[in-house]
Amino acid sequence: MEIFNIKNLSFKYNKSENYALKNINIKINRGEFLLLIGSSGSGKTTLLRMLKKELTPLGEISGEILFNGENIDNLSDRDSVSKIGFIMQDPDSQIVTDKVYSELAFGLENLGCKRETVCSKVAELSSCFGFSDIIEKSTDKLSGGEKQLLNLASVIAMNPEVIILDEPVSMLDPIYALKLINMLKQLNDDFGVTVIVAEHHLQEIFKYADRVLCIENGGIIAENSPRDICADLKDSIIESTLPIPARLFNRLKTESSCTITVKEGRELLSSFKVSDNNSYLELKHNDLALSCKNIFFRYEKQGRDILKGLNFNIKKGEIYALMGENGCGKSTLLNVINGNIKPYRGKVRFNSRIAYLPQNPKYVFTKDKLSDDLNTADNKNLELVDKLELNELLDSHPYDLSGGELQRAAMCKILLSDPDIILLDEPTKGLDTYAKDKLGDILRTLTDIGKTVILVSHDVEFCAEYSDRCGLLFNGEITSEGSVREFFGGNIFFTTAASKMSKGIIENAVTIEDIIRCIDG
Amino acid sequence: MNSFKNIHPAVSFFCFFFIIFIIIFSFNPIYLIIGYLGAFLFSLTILDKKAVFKSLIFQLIIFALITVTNPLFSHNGATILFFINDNRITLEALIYGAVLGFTVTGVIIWFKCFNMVFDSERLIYLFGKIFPSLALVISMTLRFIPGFIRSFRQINTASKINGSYRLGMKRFLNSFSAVITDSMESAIITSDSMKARGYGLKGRTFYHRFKFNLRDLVYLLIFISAFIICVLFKTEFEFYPNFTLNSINVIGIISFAVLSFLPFIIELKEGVKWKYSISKI
Repeated sequence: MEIFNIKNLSFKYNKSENYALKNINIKINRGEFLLLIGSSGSGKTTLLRMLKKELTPLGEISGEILFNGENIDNLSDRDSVSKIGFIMQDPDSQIVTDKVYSELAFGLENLGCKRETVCSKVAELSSCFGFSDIIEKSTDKLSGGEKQLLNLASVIAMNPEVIILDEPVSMLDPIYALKLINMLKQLNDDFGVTVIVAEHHLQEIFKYADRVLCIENGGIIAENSPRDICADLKDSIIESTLPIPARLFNRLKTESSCTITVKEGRELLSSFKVSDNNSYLELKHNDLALSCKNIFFRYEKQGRDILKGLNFNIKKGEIYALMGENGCGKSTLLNVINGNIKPYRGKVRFNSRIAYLPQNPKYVFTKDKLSDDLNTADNKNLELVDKLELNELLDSHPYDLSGGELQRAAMCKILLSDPDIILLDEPTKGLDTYAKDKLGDILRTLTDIGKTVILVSHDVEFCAEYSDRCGLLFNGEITSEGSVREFFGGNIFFTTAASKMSKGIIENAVTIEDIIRCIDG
Repeated sequence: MNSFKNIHPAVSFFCFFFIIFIIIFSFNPIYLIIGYLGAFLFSLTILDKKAVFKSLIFQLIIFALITVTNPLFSHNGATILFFINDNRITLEALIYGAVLGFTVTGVIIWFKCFNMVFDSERLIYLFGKIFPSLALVISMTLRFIPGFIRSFRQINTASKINGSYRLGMKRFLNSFSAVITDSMESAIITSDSMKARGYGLKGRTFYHRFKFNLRDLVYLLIFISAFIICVLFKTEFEFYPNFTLNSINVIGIISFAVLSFLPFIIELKEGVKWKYSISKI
């Protein structure tokens, strides 16, 4: 029995010329775990929003959507609210009330549940989600990951038959991303909740999916089990989003079935003959661009030290990636470097201009039009605009840009002052693989002309691909540091999927390219 | 530890309401002294001592200001102390000012205690019982403000570091307009999230975590009866032309003492109990 049956669905936004969805036919089974992939702007979000009638965008709709055999428009408001849960990308803005318990109760209050029912539901959920410690907290004090788990819990409170998630983990750090995905898996396995999720970050979620749908330009281009869809998507632009083991599989000439987990990838690799062909050209940067000496910092007089005795040297022309778990002080360090906060002991030394891109790139824009923000009047700055491919976006409002476009525009804005050192706070947050690669290329061209980049990130794959040196910040100090290959090759747990797969087989391989280079034939 | 907080908010609200009501309308030095002492002891148990003494300095200034100001404008009273610019300054007006000042400080200290006990959850509960939609508005506002401030700081920092505006004021205004746009953007997502979770359906209920038990009923009865006795058995003063005590009513005074010392006693009792139970463990 299918829970959703989508028949010949087409959709056009009111002001748009093109169809956002073209003739979509999907049957989604009860209890299925369905994964939706596709590049930004392919129509994933539009399709998901069509499934929840409260969120259906305005526009021209043809075709029909059946929920449990009944047209979704005929579904009563109450049923639609409680049976179909929807979770959006931004963990923060979805939260309505000020306290965790009241947020959990919000949906149940709307449904008119009795106080006793709400009480027991809130208790049940918080023990299930492990909220006992945060139940009294202000929602404002939660981390992004906790917020998204809370969003999930408050939708689950209404006991939905299906939950629809639009890129739920793209804003989260890896630990909470994994927590959320495992929670979805548990809900699907144990409670039979149908899960429909659109996501770019596939490393963890891919193996849990029963079926993967790939959407491009508003149409379904592939539909298969996770294992088989990898071959279908070979050489398409979506291929780069696939999990690393699957991408490795696509690069190798083999007859076995596709590998989607690290474990399978390792088994596959061990069946190949490898050569020790991994001599890497490592660029040596010599001139010091910035140095931090013995930095101590705390936010409150009685609080703990966030940075304690931190020493840190950055060479001119390198891309330095600073990594570490949530709340370890990475962003604090960036704020110390850019002079926004002053350490109570220690010195930061540099003699060049600094630019800083905050975690949310929106925050560098203060005008209503991109051209005003980028100051392009009188044909100024056009060279830079051109280089970052922003020509066609100049008339848009910064807030209307997609994640990748916004990131490029923000880069452009901070480059206007011609800085020598560029600080980036989690630049890959919320970006798809395509936008990440573009950002990486921009960073490379910047360092080629002698600029220095320091970035803070959770994204091991991005850092392995594009940075020159990496450092791990732990307990207020940089505990390990080295070139990308020393760093990730030396780490066992905190490393890339390629490195995990090739450990013990190929020394110091941290990207797919490294592995391919060492494989004979 | 905050055991007065464990009392049902409706009951503790009445307690505060009665006390502040009597302090304001009795205009009676005896009541004021009792009320102030009760609040002072109570605030020592629920606030940290630094905060209490900081507030004490502020209250002293207010008290002194009002006490001095009243005789400058009111020249009634029989006992003339001295003249300023041919205006007589009387003892009665000075006393009247002192009583007025003491009333204001009494209200300030009780409101400080009220603030400590009535966190957002209790406030929302009180309003929510009467106007459910107002409760949600308060809760959403409390959610909105910290995020707004944080976004503003980040926008302001970003434009300061990247050197977009040299002038502080211009930067401030630009950041402010940007944070307004940003909050409107996120308000759209919030409203989607509310719609998706059924806001606007008929018959919305109100969830709270308070239970009304026997102890609450007992306290409520004590508070109400103490208040009624206070109102019935008044002690009256006359300030002008001479400061005179018309009638003194011990029952009324005692019942007000009960009312204003009970919060402190409840707090103290629980504290002693706690210590005692620890020594047994």
